[in-house]
This record gives sequence, structure tokens and C-alpha cells, in this order.
Amino acid sequence: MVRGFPYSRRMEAVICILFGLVVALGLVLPSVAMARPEFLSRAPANLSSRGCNLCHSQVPSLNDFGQAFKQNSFSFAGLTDQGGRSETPVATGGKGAVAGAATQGDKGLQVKLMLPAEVVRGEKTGLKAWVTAGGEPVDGEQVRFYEETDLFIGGRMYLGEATTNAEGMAEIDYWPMATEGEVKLVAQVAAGADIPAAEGAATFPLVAAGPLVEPVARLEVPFLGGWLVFVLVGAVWAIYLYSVYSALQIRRLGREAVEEKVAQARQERRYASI
Amino acid sequence: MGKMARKAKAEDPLLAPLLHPGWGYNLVVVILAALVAWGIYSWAGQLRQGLAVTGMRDQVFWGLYISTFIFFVSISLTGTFLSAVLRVTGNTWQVPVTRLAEVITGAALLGAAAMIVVDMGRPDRLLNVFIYGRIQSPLIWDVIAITSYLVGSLIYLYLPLIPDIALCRDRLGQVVSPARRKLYTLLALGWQDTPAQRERLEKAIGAMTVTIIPVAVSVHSVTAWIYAMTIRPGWNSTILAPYFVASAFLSGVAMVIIFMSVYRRAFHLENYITPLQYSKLGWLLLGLTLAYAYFSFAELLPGAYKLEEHEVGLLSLLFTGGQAMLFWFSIFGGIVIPVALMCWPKTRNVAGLTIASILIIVTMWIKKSYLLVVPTLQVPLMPFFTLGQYSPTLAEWTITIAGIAGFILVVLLFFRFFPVITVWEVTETSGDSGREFQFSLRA
Repeated sequence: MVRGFPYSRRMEAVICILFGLVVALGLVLPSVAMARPEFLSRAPANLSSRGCNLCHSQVPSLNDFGQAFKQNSFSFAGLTDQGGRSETPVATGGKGAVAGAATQGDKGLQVKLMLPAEVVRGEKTGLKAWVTAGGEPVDGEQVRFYEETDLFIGGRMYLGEATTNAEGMAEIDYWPMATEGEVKLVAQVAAGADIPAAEGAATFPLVAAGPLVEPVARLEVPFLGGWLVFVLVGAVWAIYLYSVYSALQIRRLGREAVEEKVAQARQERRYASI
Repeated sequence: MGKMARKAKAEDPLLAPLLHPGWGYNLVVVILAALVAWGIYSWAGQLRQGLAVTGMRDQVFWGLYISTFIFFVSISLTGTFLSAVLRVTGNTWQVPVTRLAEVITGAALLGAAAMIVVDMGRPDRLLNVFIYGRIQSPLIWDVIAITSYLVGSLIYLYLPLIPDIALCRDRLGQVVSPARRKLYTLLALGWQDTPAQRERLEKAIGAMTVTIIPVAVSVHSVTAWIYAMTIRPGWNSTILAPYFVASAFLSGVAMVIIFMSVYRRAFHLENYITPLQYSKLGWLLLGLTLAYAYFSFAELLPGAYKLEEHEVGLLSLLFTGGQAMLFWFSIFGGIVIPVALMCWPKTRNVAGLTIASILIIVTMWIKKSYLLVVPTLQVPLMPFFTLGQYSPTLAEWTITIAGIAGFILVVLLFFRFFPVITVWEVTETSGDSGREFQFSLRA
């Protein structure tokens, strides 16, 4: 210990405690800020196993069951597993039609996208991903959904995320809005400490694809149009150019004036010498 | 004393601040630069983390940045009004303050552009506004109008500056740094004060004077139409464009009076900025304040009479709700007290007028900028929305304060290099000396 700092050990202890408090706060505060599943604790056993996905497609947005629960004065009474689910396009097959390629992670994790029979642009669509490991469904896995887009640059647009249930299914609500005839979607299990990333991708056709903006009747005035703006703005900028040109002429006139003065001085000197 | 010697003596007080601005000036510049640096630091954080660091969300998506943008656009009208409009109408009393007004215009427009960039989540995509912009959008109209006004204002500022730059070149060329001397020589465009050069300059200024007035009015109208083209409560109004123009005149004149008072006192320009300018600007300010009061009343009355669903929400918010304190402060602080200060004989002086101007500027930011933007967005238009909440974060405050500090800094730095008063026009209007100018104006 350095002499002259008799309290350094105590100070070290204080700093350690303070640092520990800050770390503890940092760990505690986010969990305080997260949603508290009070409603979930009141849910019947057959529903509570679905966790947050029971009511949320992605927190805090409510899915159909969440909406029905809210409209039911936050009571589970009378609500079934299907809750207030509307007519979600039904997936074909036992668990829906598996479409697209699926990648397999190091630990045998496999993600498959489940697509409904028909997807209509602008209409709510249940987008599902089925996560399995060795053919068995994996529960509690976080799945993220993306759409492949090309907005100035190509990339993946985040759609939402959900956790798999006991059947290995994760589902979000999705409103397809692409103008193209088909859309490529990706479901991805994020890389965790012991589970590497795995993803499934699929392309599906969109019904009613086409321009998003429908032409509406507009006010037609003869001889008026966008050209008028260009003419007016063009006239303004033409005057600007004229002013700048005039200013630049000042330089030429100044140079001429100086040259004239010099010539005059030379002439005077010449006359003086004569 | 010869004519040239008397002219030089008259010019000395106007050129003195360019050489020795004093410690007070330097201190203010350092403080403002520090505020700007703090704002840039905050903006870097915002760029890194996104607009999530602000209090803006999907319902109240505009806040301090856009409010300050409107404020800057408002005060930018002053240069056109005090310089171009009064020049066209043959007035000369405003000559000593035209340069000040023109520089305020340029600095305010730069500030407005900066606030827009700050408000963009992805400023690296700024160019897309020009590449993919659609002429049908009022936002594009605003981009075109502000760009045109900024370029026009800079040209209009520069043209009358040429003879004064030449004066700096000739009078200060030997005592300033070589770089500064080169700057003066370059910008003076070889000005020799010949009749041919004067004719050219007058022509260019004349063309710009006539052009800049409609461009300025278009900027303020188009900025108003960004809001008026929507069907939101408070914005869905035909009165908004003329209301913007009137309030822009008002805030511009108030801003000139504030800067004028500061420069007059700090650099002892009492012989040039005389009670005549205060008197004329005071009457202007009074008239514009009353016009603004009328517009404010005319804006609120139809909505308060018809009481449509969303309009009720907005008016309740302003009159008795969460924004009531700011609203009533803007009415009393921006209209009642300034009018009283300008009308009461005991306060009808330089100090009273300056205080009234400060109050007007503060309330212009509150009423015509902040209270125009935020409360309207707070009103829920969708059935599943509740009253929107907005609290500016520290990042927003620091960036906004940096914007305002940057605006003042640009004005101060400009007058570190160029005279605050149009020397050639003042001596031309007044004769050879500032003192004669003062007497002639008082007469």
C-alpha cells in the first residue's frame, strides 16, 4: 500500500461496493422495465403454456387472443384456446404445408416455415415457423421472421418475433404489402449460447399483387400542371444566374479600370520624360 | 479636414470591431462554440443509436427539431423584408440595419437546413429527397423553396457587401493576416468604385431585390402548407400560410431589434443605429404584433365555434390541458405584455423595445413552432390511440440548443470579418460622416 493513502483499502472496498451496486442495478432495471406477466399467472393451465405468445404476437402488440381477452374485461372466462382468433388462412396439412428450404444447425435444430394456402396482399396472415430437433418439437425457442426486400439496397426487413410453444410452433401476424408477385420470407432462430443459428426460407405467391396506390379522380385544370412549377422556379434561378453573371462582370470592369489607370500613368510618365 | 480624411474617420468605428472585437466577444464565441460542440456530440450519439434517443415516437413523430426548423424559417424573412421590401419602396432609414437583417436570414436558413438533417433518422439518405422526391408532395415544394431562398439570400447578402469588402481590402489589408487579405481581395471582385462597376452592381441588386420578395413569401407559405395540406386538427386551415408570413415578419423584426441593440451597445454604434431606427422598427413591431394577434384569434375562433371532435381535443389541450401553461404564456408574453411595453410612454424606449422583442421571439418559438407541431400530433386520430405523449430528451435539448447557438455563432463570426453596417450605403446616404448621418435622420 502506498504511504500517504491510509484509507486506500477502505476506499477500494467502497468502490467495489459501488461498482457492484451499479452492476446489480444494471441487471435488475431491465427486468423491472420488462412486461410483468401478471395476466399469464392467472391463465388456465391449458393456455398458460403458450407464454407471452398467448396474447402477444410481439410485445406489446396484441394478437387476436389478446384482443379478445382485452374485450372480455381481462378475463379468461369463456375464452378457448382459439380465443378470438379470426379466420386466419388455414395451413394445409397436419401442421401446415412446409415450404422452402430449411437449414440445420450444429445441434440438429431445424426451422421450417409454415405457409397458409393463400396469401392475399394487405390481409392479415398467420406466419408460422416449426422448430424441431431430431424430429422432435423444440419448446421456448425465440424465432425471428424477416422479409427479403429491395428498398434502394437489398436486405432483410424485420417482421417480428415469437417463441415456440410445446408443439415447436412460433407464430406472428403478418400483413404482406409487397408490390411484387411473390415474397421471400425467412424464419430464423437466433444464435444463442449453446444453440447456433438455423433458418428456414420460403417464397410464396401473393394474391392481388400490383401497385399499392390506386388511381383516384383528380381535379383537372387545363394548362395547369407540374410544368408551371418548373417554369417559375426556372425563372427565379435564371435571375440568380444573371445576378451572379453581373457580379462577375464587376471583376472584368475592375481589371479594365486598373489597366486604364496604368496606361494613363505610363502615358503621363512618357509625356513627362519628353 | 479633407473630404477623404473625414470619410476615413467616419469609417473607423465601423471597421474597428473587425480588428479588436474585445474579450467579451471572444468569451461569447467560446461559450457558443462549446454549446455547438456539445450538440454535435449528442448528434453523434443519435446517429449511432437512432431516433430512439429522442422523445419522438410513432404518434408524436415531430418535436423540438421540427419546431426549431419552423422558428428558423420564420426569422429568415427579416432580411427580405427590411432590405428588399423597404428598398423597393424607396425607404432609406433601414440602411444601417439591412446587413444585419440579411446575415440573420442566411444564418437562420442554414440553421433550418441543419434542423431538418438532424430530424432525419438516416441523414446519409438525404440525397434521396432529390432523387426520389415527388413534385406532388409539399415536402418537396419546401425543399425547392428553401433551397432557392437560401441561394438567393446568399447572393443578395453578397452583392451589397462587395464595396465594403473592397474597403476592408484597402483599409485593413496591411494590418490583417495574409489569408484574410487574400479573402478580401478574392471576394472584392476587383472593385474600384468606377461608375461602370456601380451600374453593374445596382442592376444586379435591383434584379435580386425584385426576385427575392416572392421567393421569401413562397418559402413561408410552403412551410405552412406542409401542415395545411393535412386534415389534422389545428393544421387543416386555409389561414395558415398568411398567418405564417405575418408571424415571420414579426419574429424577423424582433430578432433584428435584439441583435441591433447588442451590437449598438457592444461596439458603440450609437451614431449609426439611432433612435430613428428604433422608432421605425418599433412601430413596425407594434403593427405586426397586432396583426399576429388578429391572426391568432382568427385561427382559433372557427374551430372553437364548430367544435368538431378532434378540434375539441386540440383546443382542450391548449386551453386547459397539458399545454395550457405554454399557450397562455404565449398569449400574454407574446402579445399583451409586448404591446403594453410598446404603448406605455415610460417603456417606449430602446430597453423596452428590446425586452418586448425578446418576449416576442421566445413566444414565437413556443406558439408558432412548438405549439403548432406537438399538440396536434398528440390528439389521437385513430380509435385505438390515446392522448400522445412527448417529452424532449436531453439529447434533443442539447442538439436544439446547439442549433440556436450555431445560428448566433454564424452571425457573430460573420461580423468578425465583415462590417455590421453597410459602410458604402451609409456614407452615400448620409454624406461623409456618421454624425452627419445621424443628424440628417433626426431632422
